Amino acid sequence: MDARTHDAYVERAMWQVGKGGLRYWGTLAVLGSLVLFGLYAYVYQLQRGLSVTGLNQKVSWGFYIINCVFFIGMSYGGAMTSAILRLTGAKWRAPLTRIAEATAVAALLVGAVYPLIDLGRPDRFLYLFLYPQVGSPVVWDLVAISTYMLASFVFLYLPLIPDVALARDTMGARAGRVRATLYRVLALGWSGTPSQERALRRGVGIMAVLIIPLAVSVHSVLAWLFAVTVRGGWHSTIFAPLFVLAAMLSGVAAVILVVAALRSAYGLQQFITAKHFRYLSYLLISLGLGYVYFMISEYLTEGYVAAETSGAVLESLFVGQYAFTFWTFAILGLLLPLVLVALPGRFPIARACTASALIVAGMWLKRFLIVVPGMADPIMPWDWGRYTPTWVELAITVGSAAAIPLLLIVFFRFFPVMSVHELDEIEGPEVTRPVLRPAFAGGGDD
Amino acid sequence: MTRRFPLILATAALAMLLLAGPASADHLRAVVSVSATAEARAEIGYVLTAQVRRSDGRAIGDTRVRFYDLVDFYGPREMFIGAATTDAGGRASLTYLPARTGPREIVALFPGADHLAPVRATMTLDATVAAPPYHAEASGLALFSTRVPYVVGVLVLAVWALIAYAFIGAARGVMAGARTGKGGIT
Repeated sequence: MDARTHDAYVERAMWQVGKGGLRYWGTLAVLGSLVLFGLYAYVYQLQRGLSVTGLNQKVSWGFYIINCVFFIGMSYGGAMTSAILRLTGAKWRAPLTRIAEATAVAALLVGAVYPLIDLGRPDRFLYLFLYPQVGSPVVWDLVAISTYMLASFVFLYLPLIPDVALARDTMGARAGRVRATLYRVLALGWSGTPSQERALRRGVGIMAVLIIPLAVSVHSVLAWLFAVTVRGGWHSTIFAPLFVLAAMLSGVAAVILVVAALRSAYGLQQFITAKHFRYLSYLLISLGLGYVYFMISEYLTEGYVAAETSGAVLESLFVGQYAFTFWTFAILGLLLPLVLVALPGRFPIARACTASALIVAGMWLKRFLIVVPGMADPIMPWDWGRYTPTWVELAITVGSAAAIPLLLIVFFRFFPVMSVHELDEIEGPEVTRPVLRPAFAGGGDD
Repeated sequence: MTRRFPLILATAALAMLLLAGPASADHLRAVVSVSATAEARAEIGYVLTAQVRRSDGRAIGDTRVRFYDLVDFYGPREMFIGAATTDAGGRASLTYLPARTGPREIVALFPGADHLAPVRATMTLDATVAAPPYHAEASGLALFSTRVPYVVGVLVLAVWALIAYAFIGAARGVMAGARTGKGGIT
């Protein structure tokens, strides 16, 4: 990368920091309104109890648990994307890692709130600490999610230190007193000395290695929450790897969508090119095919044995009351997106974004198909349970989904959207060496 | 008139009988008593017997009697022991082995039949024998299972320590480098 491209990169990475134009405030207002409406719905639920939701005696897990699994899975994909790119030393990672890490934290913050919402009486959350049962998967979840959250924050913060120092040094008087203090404190006196570089590289390296097994453990524990019960469709030995793959798939798809949105909003087209989307699409295809394989393996073994409970659930999925949702997920939410990104041709970015949107929606449906039929299937000789979400659940779901982009745009108003330090690390100390074409120009934009 | 007097008397007596008959039946009620005797083999427990009869002394046969033990389970409530059918003598019996020794409040309930209202009787049984405490067979994995939480706990602590090491080490290294130009983690 020549000096001019490097300068342009830095300028673009810092462009949105401290800026608040009409588009920014407009977006903030729209997303903020949705979040506030979600909060209003939650307060409404808090006052009246869970009876205002569609949850009932037979189907006591619904949108809230679906969203918890979905958003934490999304977070996992973001963390994994960044960690894998760092550990494999992918040279094209610099513009993506920050966005992936920030997406991971934002999605995790939203997902981790859902168990509290589902409690109805959030004060009872304290019971987990007062009377913990180590044999309960709920306690395992608490430990796993809190550990993963801590690690995600550290994993976001450590690589951010040099860029915070950059903001500290370049913003000057424009930063204002509060922001300048924030930068000064968070930068920890970074000046880019070799010893600082060494210390930081070591810390980031440990976190990049650690975040992968942590993320795997979080989603495995979430899967065990289902798998250790004897409900139809849940009691499966393959559930943990299936959940991990599902999380990675939806997470990478979410990262693609966030990268595309920020690329357009912050004018990063020069640095985030079709090549990045193509590489992320390859990741999407690999994960998608892996997921198809695991899903077939699960349904084949369960369906072949056709045990009394899982047989009824499978029947409801393939030909019964959930068949429409299931086949919508399988065809539109899984197979079509994979074909869309696998086929060579024009418009790789548009195809990657369309496929990602379909996968994100499809993986939400898949979580619905795991949670609700498993609950609705009666263990006792009763009728099947029914579940129809109310406006409260819908409002909280929409509000929480809006909270993720809201958190991201607020975060990127304070910090660079692309990692400058990482680019310098990849490019080496001499950024002014003659290069005929920009390193990120390959692949052709659309 | 004198000749008709016995006929009038007989008619009046019949009318009184007809009128008094149903009226006295309505005043009948069920009476229940309950008793307990120890079984010949003490470990079997106690035989609870309920005697059900009308207030006029006639036994009520072929009717179900329900037996309860008053227990304290999140407040006082009746724990259903079982039901038995009365014989021709109005007796219904079943065997009961309490879960705990000590005084038990036993209830026999006649749920009502043949215009007779439900009636209940209670007695105190001072149980000296009780069922042995439930004992689950230890599975082969029990020893393994009891140690898993400790192993996992150590693992979790190790992960937290590693996160702390990465964070604090890097932060200290950066801050030390800012002051002296030397790193913390090496």
